[in-house]
Amino acid sequence: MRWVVWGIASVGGLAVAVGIISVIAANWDDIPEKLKLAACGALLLGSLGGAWRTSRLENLWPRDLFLLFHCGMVPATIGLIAQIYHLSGHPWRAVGLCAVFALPAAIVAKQGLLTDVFIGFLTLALGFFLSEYHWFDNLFQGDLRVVFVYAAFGLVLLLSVSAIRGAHFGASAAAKRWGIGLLAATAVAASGYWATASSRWLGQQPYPVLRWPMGIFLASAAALSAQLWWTRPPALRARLAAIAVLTLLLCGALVGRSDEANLLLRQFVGFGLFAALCIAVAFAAAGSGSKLGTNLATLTLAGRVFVFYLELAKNLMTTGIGLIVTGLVCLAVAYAWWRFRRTLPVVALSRGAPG
Amino acid sequence: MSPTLGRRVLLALALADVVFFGGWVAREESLRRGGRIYLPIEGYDPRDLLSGHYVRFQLVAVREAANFLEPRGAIAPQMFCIEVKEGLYHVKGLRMGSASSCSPFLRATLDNTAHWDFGIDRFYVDERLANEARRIQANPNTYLVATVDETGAIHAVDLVVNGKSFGPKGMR
Repeated sequence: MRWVVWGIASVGGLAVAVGIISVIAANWDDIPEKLKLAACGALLLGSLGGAWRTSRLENLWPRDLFLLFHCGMVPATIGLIAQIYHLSGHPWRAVGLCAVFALPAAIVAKQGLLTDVFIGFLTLALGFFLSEYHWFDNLFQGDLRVVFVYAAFGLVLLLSVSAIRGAHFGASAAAKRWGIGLLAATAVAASGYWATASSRWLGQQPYPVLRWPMGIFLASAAALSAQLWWTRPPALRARLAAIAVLTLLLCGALVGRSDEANLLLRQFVGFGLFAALCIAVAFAAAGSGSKLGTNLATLTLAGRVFVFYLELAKNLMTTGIGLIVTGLVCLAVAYAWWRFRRTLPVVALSRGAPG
Repeated sequence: MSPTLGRRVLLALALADVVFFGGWVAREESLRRGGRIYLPIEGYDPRDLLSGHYVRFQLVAVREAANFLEPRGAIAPQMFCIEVKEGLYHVKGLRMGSASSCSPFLRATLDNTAHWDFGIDRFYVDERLANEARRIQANPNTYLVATVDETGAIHAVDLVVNGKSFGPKGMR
């Protein structure tokens, strides 16, 4: 009953807030510029004032919410100044500036949510920056530079996890979330390259193929592997295997892509690498006691199996092969779950006590 | 992090807000009060954006600058001297040497499509005037009122389309 009351109150509050914003928006051009700037400045500093006032409370959620509001007010202020003074420029600079202002809030905050905001701004700024130099333009013609840059960024985030865990557990959890998320996104993008053919050879592409994005990715992968080897976390072998398979998945996607003749072979190899990556991640997550991670990796594998079947379903022969391979993978996953039910803590957990 | 250190960080953040955003607004305000130039524009592209309506345009100076220096393969940034012709400012050539060789001048970089970029291509207009702006064609009475700072960067003050000001009320 209490949640119903809170739900109705939330809807009412949200409606009033959106209504006020709408009324202000309707009269936006009649509001003097100085008043707009003053109100924006008051909200910007007021959010920090609120954070200051609530920083002595035992529960630090209110302070962190004020800081979150401040993180939202920074891009709003930049946008307002740009609108009033008719400024135009490079979007990555504005988003990068938001990241700079979000960093102190992320350091102060107890919750990892503020670190999510900081890393989110960084990721977006990186995307705008690369987009400005047209790095996304040839994404579907085999230009993997963006993928390597984002994968390296994900690896760097994972590298930072153990370094900041002692000082800020919430921030390290956020870095881990974003690192794994970025690597998952790049793995999905790379698997797309494996499954399609290009009309051009790598060496004949009209844009320069820069080797340094791949270089920083390989260096980051080596550094993370060395750190894991040094710190000996649970499921070390599965983690190292995941890094090795991810490296093969990304770097291998560049090899022989333009050849139509070997497309079927590439599809099989790409699928095999992606499946191996999911299995390694599932084992690493299970070994670390993360039921969510294990389930997500297994679910991703199931999704990839379905996509693989669709990729191959061009005629009866390939459909048959696709069905056999996907069926075998499903059987193997089921067998693995049954086989490791005693050795993996997550599997044991799911049989007994809930979550 | 200790509560005291946390409060110090909050204080530093507030100070950074005041210095950065306050300084930015103060600088833009002082630039608005500088000597004004009138730059002809062409090519409208009125848009509806979440932050308000704005008109995208291209300065005639972009085309004029390309006549003096082909942007493809050129070194950026470049400074272009401007002069008044029939009330509007046009590019008269490349600025060579010291600041005394020409004044005022405009600073241009190269955009992604290898065109000269003077750093300004939009003007926010009143939502109710946006539709009006969409229907108006370029003509000699259409220009951007701006100021130029010591680096040659343009700062928009008003947009005049067919003799009608689209800027904020105080600027008209």
